[in-house]
Amino acid sequence: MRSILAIARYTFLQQFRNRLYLVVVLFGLLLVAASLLFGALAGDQEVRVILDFGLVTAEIFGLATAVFGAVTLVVEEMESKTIYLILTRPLPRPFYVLGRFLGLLLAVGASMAVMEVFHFSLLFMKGWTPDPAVFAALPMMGLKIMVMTALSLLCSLTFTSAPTATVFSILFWVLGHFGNEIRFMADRAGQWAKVAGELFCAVLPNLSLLNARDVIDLPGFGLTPLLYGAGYALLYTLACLALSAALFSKKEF
Amino acid sequence: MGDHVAAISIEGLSKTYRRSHLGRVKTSLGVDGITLSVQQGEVFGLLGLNGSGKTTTIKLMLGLLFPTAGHVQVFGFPAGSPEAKRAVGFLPEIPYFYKYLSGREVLRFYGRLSGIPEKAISARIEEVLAQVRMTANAGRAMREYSKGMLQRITLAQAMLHDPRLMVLDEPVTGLDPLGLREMREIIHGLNQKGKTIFFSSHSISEVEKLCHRVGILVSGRLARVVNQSEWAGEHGRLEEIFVSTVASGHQKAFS
Repeated sequence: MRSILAIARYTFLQQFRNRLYLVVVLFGLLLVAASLLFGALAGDQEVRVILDFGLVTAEIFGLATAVFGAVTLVVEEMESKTIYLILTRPLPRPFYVLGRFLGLLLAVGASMAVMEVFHFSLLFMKGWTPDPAVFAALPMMGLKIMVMTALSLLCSLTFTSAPTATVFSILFWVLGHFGNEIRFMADRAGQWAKVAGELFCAVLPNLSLLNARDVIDLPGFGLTPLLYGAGYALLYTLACLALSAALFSKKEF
Repeated sequence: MGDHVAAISIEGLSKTYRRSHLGRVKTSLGVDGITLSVQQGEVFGLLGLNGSGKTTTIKLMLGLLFPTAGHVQVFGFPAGSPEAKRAVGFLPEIPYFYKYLSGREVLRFYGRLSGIPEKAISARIEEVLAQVRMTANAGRAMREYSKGMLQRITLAQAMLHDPRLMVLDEPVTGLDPLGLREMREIIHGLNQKGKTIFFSSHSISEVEKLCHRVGILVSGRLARVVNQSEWAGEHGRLEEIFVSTVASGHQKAFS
């Protein structure tokens, strides 16, 4: 446990001192601020535009931090060989994967928290009335980033180059929002395509389950889909971590 | 484990690398059928040309690579097991570190991973920093370090958990004459304290000064093990033995 925390702590520290991480957070804050400009163009929907634009910005920049963090930390650690000095210590290899994941999640969570605090300050300045539904959407966004962090970590251990791991992580993120559309198209393309489509969608993360901000305003939306989404996110994350740990345990350096 | 157990015991160790690209698998030999035993308290040197299998042998001993055949034991424990790792301090050929962390932070990190109790860790860090003469610079970020300073911190992390066996991969490569002398003194001092030292090197003169026994690797095979008595008092004798062993090893390999 102590070694997991040590790796998590140093992952966070490494990310926090990385200029790229700070630039991404700063750029995210600038974009959140830019939502004021878009809001001004939206007339009486100003607050709604600032709200949506800010949430999307925080999610995309959270995702960018997670993907680039997972890829640079793990792939570069293997390329730069700093991993030698960790793996020659008496810690089981899965602990390394878990420590990296927790540290990265903490760093991504911190960057998203900073962006959201800034975002909600702007909203309050514009006279926004707090909506509990929006606050319920935030943890779901966090869970989506958790899934993507675990998946990016898995990609970084599966593919040997950083660009390939990054491209696949982003591809999974995009396709993960279109599970229903993929199923629909596969269904119309024939029996085999249907089976292949179902299998593909089972492997893909179903991120639309975690897109609470799009549906939370709909009438009759209750707690059940949120709990289902949260359970799914936890299971998917655990599966990614278990696969990462298994892959990493067999890896040679 | 008692004192009678060998520090390192290698039996029939082979490693073949397999690399596949677009369905085509290429294999290359890392090491082939190495059998060797290093006793506790011994300084053992591994000599060989580039690509002869020195680093592969070390990686197999540390559990960074898995053998294709044979096995390695460290103080009676399988290489790569937590018990074996606890007994080993590793100095890699090139210092690899986190550029955003300071020397002291890096040592604390490795100390925690090595299982040093939290209460003892600070005192132990200062102790090893003093040993490698890095106390004054330990607070600086590692990206500001010179090569010599990086080498000292690398050595400090290897000594941090007071291991019984030090595995040093090319410890004198790239050091200036002063650094070379300091490294020699440190290795000698560690051995005086009862530590077993296993190191690979290109530098025959350093191996000659430090080792009780030397193994010569040729094309992945352990061609010969030489005792100190075979070169002691005869300047250049180890070099002669090395050159003739490598030449006959290559002849055998080609025939």
